[in-house]
Amino acid sequence: MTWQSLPTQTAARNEVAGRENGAEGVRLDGDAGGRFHDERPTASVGEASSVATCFLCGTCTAGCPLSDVMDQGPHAIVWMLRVGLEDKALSSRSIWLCSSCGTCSARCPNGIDVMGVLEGLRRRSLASRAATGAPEIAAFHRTFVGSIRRAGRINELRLVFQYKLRTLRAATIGSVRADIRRGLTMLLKGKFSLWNDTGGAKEEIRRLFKRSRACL
Amino acid sequence: MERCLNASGPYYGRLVRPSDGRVPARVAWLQCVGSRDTRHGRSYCSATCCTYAIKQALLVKAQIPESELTIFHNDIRTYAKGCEALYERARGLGGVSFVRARVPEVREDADSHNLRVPFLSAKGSVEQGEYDLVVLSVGAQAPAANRRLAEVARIELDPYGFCRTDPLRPNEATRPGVFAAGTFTGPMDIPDSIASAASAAGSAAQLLAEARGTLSREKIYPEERAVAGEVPRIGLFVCRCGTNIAGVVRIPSLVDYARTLDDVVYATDQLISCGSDACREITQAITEHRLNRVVIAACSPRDREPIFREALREVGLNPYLVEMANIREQCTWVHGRHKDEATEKSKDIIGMSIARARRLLPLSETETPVMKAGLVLGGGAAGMTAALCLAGQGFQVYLVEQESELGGHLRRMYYSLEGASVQPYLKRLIDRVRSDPRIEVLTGHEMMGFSGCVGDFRTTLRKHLTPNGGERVLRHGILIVATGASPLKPKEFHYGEHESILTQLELERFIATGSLPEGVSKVVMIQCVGARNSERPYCGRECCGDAIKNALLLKARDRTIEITIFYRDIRTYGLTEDFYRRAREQGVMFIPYEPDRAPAVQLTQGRPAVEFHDPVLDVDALLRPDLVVLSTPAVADGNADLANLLRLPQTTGGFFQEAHVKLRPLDSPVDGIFLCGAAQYPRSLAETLIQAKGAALRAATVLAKDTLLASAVRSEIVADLCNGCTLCEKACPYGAIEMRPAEPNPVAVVNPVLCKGCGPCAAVCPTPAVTVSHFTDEQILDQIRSSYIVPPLNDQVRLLAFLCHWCGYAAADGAGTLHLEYPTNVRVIHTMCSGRLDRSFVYEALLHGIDGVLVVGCREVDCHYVSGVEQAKKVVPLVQRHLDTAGIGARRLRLELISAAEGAKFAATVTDFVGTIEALGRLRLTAEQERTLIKRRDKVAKRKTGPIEVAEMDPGNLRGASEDGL
Repeated sequence: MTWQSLPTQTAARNEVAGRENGAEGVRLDGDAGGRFHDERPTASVGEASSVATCFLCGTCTAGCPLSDVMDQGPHAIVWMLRVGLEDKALSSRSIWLCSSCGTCSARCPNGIDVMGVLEGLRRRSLASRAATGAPEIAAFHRTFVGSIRRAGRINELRLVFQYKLRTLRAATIGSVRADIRRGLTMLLKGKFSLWNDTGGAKEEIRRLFKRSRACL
Repeated sequence: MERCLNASGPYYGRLVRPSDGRVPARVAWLQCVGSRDTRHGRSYCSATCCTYAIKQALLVKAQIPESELTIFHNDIRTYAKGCEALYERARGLGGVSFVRARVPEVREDADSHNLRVPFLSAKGSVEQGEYDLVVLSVGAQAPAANRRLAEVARIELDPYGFCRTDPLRPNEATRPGVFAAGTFTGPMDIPDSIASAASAAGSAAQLLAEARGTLSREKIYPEERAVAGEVPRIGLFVCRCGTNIAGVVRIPSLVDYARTLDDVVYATDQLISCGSDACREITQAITEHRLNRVVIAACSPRDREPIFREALREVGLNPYLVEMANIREQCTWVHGRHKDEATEKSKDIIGMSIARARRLLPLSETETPVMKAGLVLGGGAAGMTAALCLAGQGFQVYLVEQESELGGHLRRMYYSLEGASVQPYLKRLIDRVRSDPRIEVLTGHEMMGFSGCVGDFRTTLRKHLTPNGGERVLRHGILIVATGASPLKPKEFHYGEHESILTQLELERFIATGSLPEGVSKVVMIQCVGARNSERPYCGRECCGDAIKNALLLKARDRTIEITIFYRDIRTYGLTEDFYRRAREQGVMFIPYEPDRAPAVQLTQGRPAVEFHDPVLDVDALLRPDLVVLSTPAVADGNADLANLLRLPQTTGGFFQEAHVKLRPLDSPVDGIFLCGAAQYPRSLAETLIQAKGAALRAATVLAKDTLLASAVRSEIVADLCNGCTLCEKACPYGAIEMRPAEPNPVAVVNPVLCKGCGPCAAVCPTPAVTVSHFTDEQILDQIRSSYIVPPLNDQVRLLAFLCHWCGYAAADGAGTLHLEYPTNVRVIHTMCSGRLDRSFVYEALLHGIDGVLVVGCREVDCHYVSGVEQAKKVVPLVQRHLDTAGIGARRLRLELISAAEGAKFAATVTDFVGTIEALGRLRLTAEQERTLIKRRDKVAKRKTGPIEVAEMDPGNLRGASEDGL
């Protein structure tokens, strides 16, 4: 495999990198990382370094609590952005496994906000509606955040139904049956509520969503 | 870790885990802890830690051969002279791994107390290493007190708290007249620190030139008393050294014993002999009792001998007539628990010293006048700066340059890494040199001949393009070699085949002159081209900085230009790390490669294509750049002729060797010849300027004197006895012996100024022609013959140890300082170099009743006399063979190489050797063996031992001899 032969998603790439794909299929755009940081509404934005400053020490990946289940560690995601393989980064499963614990960002000797970079990729991946590396996690994310946004909190039953509908394509007759059985048990034990318990500060949460410009 | 591995450290140099005292089997070093880390405000590189971690790993590996060692690093930065070889040596050893990964955390296993470290492996997976011991290679930081100092001195600091300097005035603070040196200006290793200290002193000396010597006063000594022909009148002073000596041995019995020895006319004890009152007592006794030899039974002569020599001079006695009997480091400090044995041994040590003192002769240091002019060879940045600094200190300077113009490599350079413009600086430098009345510029001149020695060198110059008769001879007191190096024209990567493939130097010229081809939008740079390989196993030191400099220059011209740099390790050491960071910030892409997977350059359709391996995604990839720029090292291939002419040794790559790689970086091994700039090793412009001023200061230490004193310990050759064999000439590490034509055979002549007194010449001489003053055959043989006159208690085996002054004796002192016990039955004979060991000494010892002979010299790398220990390494196996043939056994003679710091090793070696000899038992020579040894001794010593056979010694000397006839 070469850098050229890697699958490309020109649209997504251009959107991320803001640049035309090079004739050789290789872009070395050191500024790519900065774009993500621009979207982060926290005070640390201005202080974080561009992914271009990475010197491949592997601190982020070696300390990542989820690196053993990731196909590519955070360092490789950063590298993909540096060498212009944004599409590969966007379609990576690793960005969805990230738990945003922030260990990588806290430890990066170059001050790169690795967690923020991964979060930006997740947002971009959702916005692009393109296939993600972890559709089930993306579906859960959509369902969960959608529920909060709408109702100010989650309703377990609705969450499960919506999630199961969104991921129906991956389901089998057996898995649906098992889900129904498990759902009934949980209902009988009172784990699910049948009533839509609104409560909470619905309006305030809506305002929060508005202000955070969250991408959904 | 340094302390733990040190013989004087908490574990006597034996590495153990501090928590539970276990010997560690797995040790990890974590590099860049607190360095190259923006989180702590220290984004710079600490410049030394890589090499020190490797050194420690080598030490641990030597001590615990089966240990598994791992060094976790970002880049390995063995950029300094000789350090790449150290790295290669460590890599070549089994069980030492280098892992390119930064370790984020260390966790302790609750049960085993082992330490777990996670790291990103080369395969891209996260692995866990488990270690018994983890060493943090902690970076350097500017002390907080720098702020206060800067305020008081009204100078500026950089954001890290180091002194702010200008790349073109690297040893000056921001306030005129304030100079800065060492790690005050940024992290650096010992040799750079020493060079910068000398340079700061050099710059200051220029300002103070007129005041030189105005505050010094000369000490006047009384006229020296002639003692030649006098019967020895020996005075003995036993130092109690508080309780250091008196607490172990019975002082009165030592004094009483000494009084029974021949020629001892005065003996007493003192509380502390080196105190000024006690010294006055000694000088009074010398006058009162007309003493002409003095023996001080006290501590190591390495420490206090100068005090007693000075005392002798003050009463008009030659300072070489004092002898020290070391009963502290070699006796009371190491045998504290065996007081009786220590007392008997002390008596014997005193007896040996008195035997030696009897043979001591007054010696004098030769005085030679100094030619008050310096010659600087090489008219580049280093040479011109050195010439200006020497001239500024008030000395006449000849500046010799073989090309027709001044400037050297600087003429091809346009910018420094920091961005300073070089060409205007060069012009100013040339103007200053040309207009300085004390500098005579000799461009277009080549050195044809070189002779003489420090204080009075003679150089023959010939002007180019002048046929016969264009020669000129200059006399000068010192020589500064600043001949530089030249840029390598690489053979690799199709260099020279296509205009788009060039070197960094060529790219720099294109950028500076605006002649970069139009439309260059993609540039590839490849590091380590022609360096760090089998042909040139050294690091070019500056090539990483050059690549980054050019990348930044290109980026400054056009922000969109794409630059990819392929590297093995980026070696932007010290504060230059920030330029590496800046290049990354500007989007320069850095891709590491392993030598076996180096990028490949192909020329297709008139354009280069670079195939490479992406180590992160583990894929092969292709780039089609407009330019391929090769980063090549400076080479010194052309130094051989000059090295021959100057008799200077060279190191890897042809660079000139310094007197000591760490401690004397500006001195060559030849007195009066100094080194600076790339002739010694490739370095940056700022470092070159520092070295040049430093070398000028070192040179001024010679030129400032009217006369020079050569060591009184030196070799003398009696022409009548010389048979012209040339063995001594070959054995001399300094080229101090020269064969002069004579009849019937050429004879060897010693240049007393070059001679250092080490003594291999005397050891190899087949005739009695060579004498090493102060360590004559007679003196040493008498010491051998007087050993064990006070016999050891019981019938213990008797050992004799020949210790070289610089390492063996120092290690014995170290064992003493640490109070490391070893058996009492060893006596020491002090020589300047293990190469002094004459075969006859060993035979004489065995004939005298010694059961085992130990010879301790420096490790080859430490040898104070360049290659003196090599002589011992030749002689010892030879004698061992003879001993085997005679049925005495090679194991009775042993050579050990121990460094000055290895006191523990010395103690262990003696203990082990005593064990070996005890297993062999006392040596009872058969009549046949005795005849063989006598024959061997006399064959080696020829007539040398003739006049001083035991039989001719006054039997009175042997008073107190034991029953068994020794």
